[in-house]
Amino acid sequence: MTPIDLSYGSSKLLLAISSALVLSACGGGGDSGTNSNGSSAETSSGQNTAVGGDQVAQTAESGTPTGDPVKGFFTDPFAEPVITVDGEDVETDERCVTNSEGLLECKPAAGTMAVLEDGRVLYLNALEGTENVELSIVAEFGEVSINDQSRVLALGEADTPQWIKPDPLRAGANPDGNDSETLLDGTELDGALDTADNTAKNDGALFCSDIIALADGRIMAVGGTDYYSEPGVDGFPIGVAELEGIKNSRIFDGTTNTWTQSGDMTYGRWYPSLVTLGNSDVFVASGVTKLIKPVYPEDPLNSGRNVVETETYDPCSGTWTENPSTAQRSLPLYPRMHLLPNGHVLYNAGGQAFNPFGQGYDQALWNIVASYNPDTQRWTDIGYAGLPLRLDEVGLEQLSSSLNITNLSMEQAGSLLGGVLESPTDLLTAASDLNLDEETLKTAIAGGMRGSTSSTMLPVRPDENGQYNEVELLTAGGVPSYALLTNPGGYLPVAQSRIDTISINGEQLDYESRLTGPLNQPRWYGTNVLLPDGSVMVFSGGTRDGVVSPGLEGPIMTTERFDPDTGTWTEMATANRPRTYHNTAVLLPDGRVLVAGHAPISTAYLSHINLEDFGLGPNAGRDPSFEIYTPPYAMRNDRPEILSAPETATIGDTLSIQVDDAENIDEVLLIRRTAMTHLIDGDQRAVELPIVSRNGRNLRLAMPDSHDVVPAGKYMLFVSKSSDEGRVPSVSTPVTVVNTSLACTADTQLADTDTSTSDGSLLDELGGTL
Amino acid sequence: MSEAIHQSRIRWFCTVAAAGLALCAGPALGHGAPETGKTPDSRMSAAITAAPVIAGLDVMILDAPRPGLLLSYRGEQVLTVLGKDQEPMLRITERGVSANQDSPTYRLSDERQIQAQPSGWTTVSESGTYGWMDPRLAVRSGHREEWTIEIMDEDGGLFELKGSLESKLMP
Repeated sequence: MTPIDLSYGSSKLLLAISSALVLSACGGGGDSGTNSNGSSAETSSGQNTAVGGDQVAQTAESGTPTGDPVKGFFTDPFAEPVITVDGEDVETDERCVTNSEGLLECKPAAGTMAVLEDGRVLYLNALEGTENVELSIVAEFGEVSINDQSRVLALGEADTPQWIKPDPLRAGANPDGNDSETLLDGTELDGALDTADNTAKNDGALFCSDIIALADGRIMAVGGTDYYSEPGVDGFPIGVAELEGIKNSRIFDGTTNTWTQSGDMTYGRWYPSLVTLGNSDVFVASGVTKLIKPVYPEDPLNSGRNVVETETYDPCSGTWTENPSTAQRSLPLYPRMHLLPNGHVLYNAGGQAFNPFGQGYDQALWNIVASYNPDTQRWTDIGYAGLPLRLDEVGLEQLSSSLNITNLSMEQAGSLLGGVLESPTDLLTAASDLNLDEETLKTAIAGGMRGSTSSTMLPVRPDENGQYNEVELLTAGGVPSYALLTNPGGYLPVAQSRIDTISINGEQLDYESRLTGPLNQPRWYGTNVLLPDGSVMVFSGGTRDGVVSPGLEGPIMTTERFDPDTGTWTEMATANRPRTYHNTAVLLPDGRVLVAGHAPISTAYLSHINLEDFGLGPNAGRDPSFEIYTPPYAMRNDRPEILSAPETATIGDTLSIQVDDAENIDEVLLIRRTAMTHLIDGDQRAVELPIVSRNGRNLRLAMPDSHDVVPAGKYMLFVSKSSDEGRVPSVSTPVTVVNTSLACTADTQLADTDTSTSDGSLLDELGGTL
Repeated sequence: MSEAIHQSRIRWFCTVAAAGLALCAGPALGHGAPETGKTPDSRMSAAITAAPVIAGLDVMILDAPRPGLLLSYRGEQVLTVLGKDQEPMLRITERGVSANQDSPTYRLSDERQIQAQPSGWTTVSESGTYGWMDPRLAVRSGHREEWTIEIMDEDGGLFELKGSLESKLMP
């Protein structure tokens, strides 16, 4: 049991709780590491990496899983065994160790993760330095924060973990300090009222960047944080922290484990979102330049809101180009965006926001689903998120439940609603018929912008003509805009779950929504992972918004699984460690899920006050541990196996692969390797490849004919078969999708896409060709 | 008084002062419109009281601290939303929406346009749907108010979109 830290007396706790909502108005951005009196919180008993790894392997090999074969199971947590203190590696189970200066050195937590081509995982710390906040993160974070460390985690034989430190460890941005956008920047008084220039130790943090996998598999981090105090005085750890978005982009090369600098953006961005375009360029939108005090004397019109300008990165030249004014758009932080099969970028009316009272005069527009056309460099408004709403039985039941319709039967409600709310006019009519006001109904349909939740693209499947013209996006839980309140406005998350369908007809996009069955409990900040069986699981998160009132969010450790066939969520295994803000989860190449992260903001924006004993989130500091979730299918001994597959492919190809169970394989998914932070992975996608022919053990698969469907990059190829207990996928095999039109990869040698053999029987082969 | 206690009290005082500073500086400068001086205790709630009967036209309120309007049109005409001075402000077809950058009302609907040089009509949406922050929904008298926006069809017929504005306390 972790003791409650009341080292500053009860007045601190009272101040913490009473100040929580008010201080939250200062924005998010801070976070903590350990308790304030300098003692380190312990990690779980599973910290010993060798033990954790061995247990998983023995279980898998014995065929007698220790977890529930219906709900799956988690391994014991494991964490990096050493901390470098005063230049020496100290092996410890503790999260932090005090150095000779009396400051805590802590193990990094995976607030950002990316699955590399070789299966290793790059991860980035979040909120490094908060462990040394003594009283108030608002007052001190500008000074005590440190550029975040990076790590590479490799899971070896029997899941034995190994850690590698990249060079440079903190990715090396702004070694000479950042040219911060302080109020007095460029004047004779520059530096008089701020601490922006007092040190370069925290001018280029990886925290609050977004990451993306480039076409060649390297990982690019864009934006990040420059910390300082404004107002503030050098040498005094007091003031008001500012978190300024930086302009840098940095690239991690997994073959050398090194970071290098790439081009700078025109705008500094904190919490931006990235999406790979069909031509392998990278599109960036939103972010804020100064989180706490976004006031720019030279640019008053952009003061008080997020960056509306968008930019595009050319991976061959390594440069960013600002898009024209037609490409501007007001978006929330970390906007949920996806590349559509027609090459447009969809904003799915979701994101992060930090203040109940809004961040921009035009944030009402965040409720609109919109798409960006890279060819015309213009946005198209599609409609209010959640409308039209088409109601099937599951959705109607959820809607009736949300509205608490007690005096109407389901049939009456269904009749009144007509099965579909096509338009705002229908919404008004239906609200009137149900004796509700429009706002109540708007809330009930879970419409509008949703904060702090994932937007997950379900597997993209070809139509009968082999074209990919429909995308479904799953949004569950999170903090709705609450029409009754403000945007983002909500403090309590919801259980509502919605699928938005985008149908593509050339340049025209049609949009409609449907409610699915709800989550079994409301969830803030859950991380979704699409599994190779087509289902979606949500991991971690909390019962309340941990940004509005840090430390008062109750952790949710029970996972849930969404079955797209039934449209329902089912509770699955429970994780070992609470993980609220800055939790992460990624799909591993073998179909299991690596779950990590947890770097909450200091309780009530002060320092670390651990209220875990009251059932609230553990704010004793960030959690450096990992757990591996094994889904039920991964425990089975009848998983299909891919015997051979081409290493590379491009659009229009026909791939030949060999599998051990060809006659039962009925689905093949090409899943892009995850690169995610803060619930977002703009490139998250799974593309179904149709099986065009079979021949013995050989399957011939059709690649899409456009990189808008399958952008160049590193993927995992899974095959699967159906069974009475659900779909059973294989372990994946790596496939690189090559864009032969991309100048800097045009010379890449494409492997032979035909790995078929004739080891099937003659009858097999004849049967396959008939 | 020991040095440690003295230092502790100084730190405590400084932190309280800094927290106070954050209370003032954060909400005032960091969030809401730049002119927002304090945390709002109420919001403006907009409602549509009379929608124009034009086939294929739908309008709805976008809720936020300052409400916006969303218009969607699936018809064959060219509709024109008029500004406060009856000037053409938005031109809407099923396939796209253009904005008149010379319209004072449009310029007030987008703060970026206030200081920009007018340059005629520009495409603002490549569909028949468009959302904007109409200044007529930004009145903050604190009392219930009415607003009217006129929409003209191809034949010069005028239709009124009417609504109300009401201040509601924050929950």
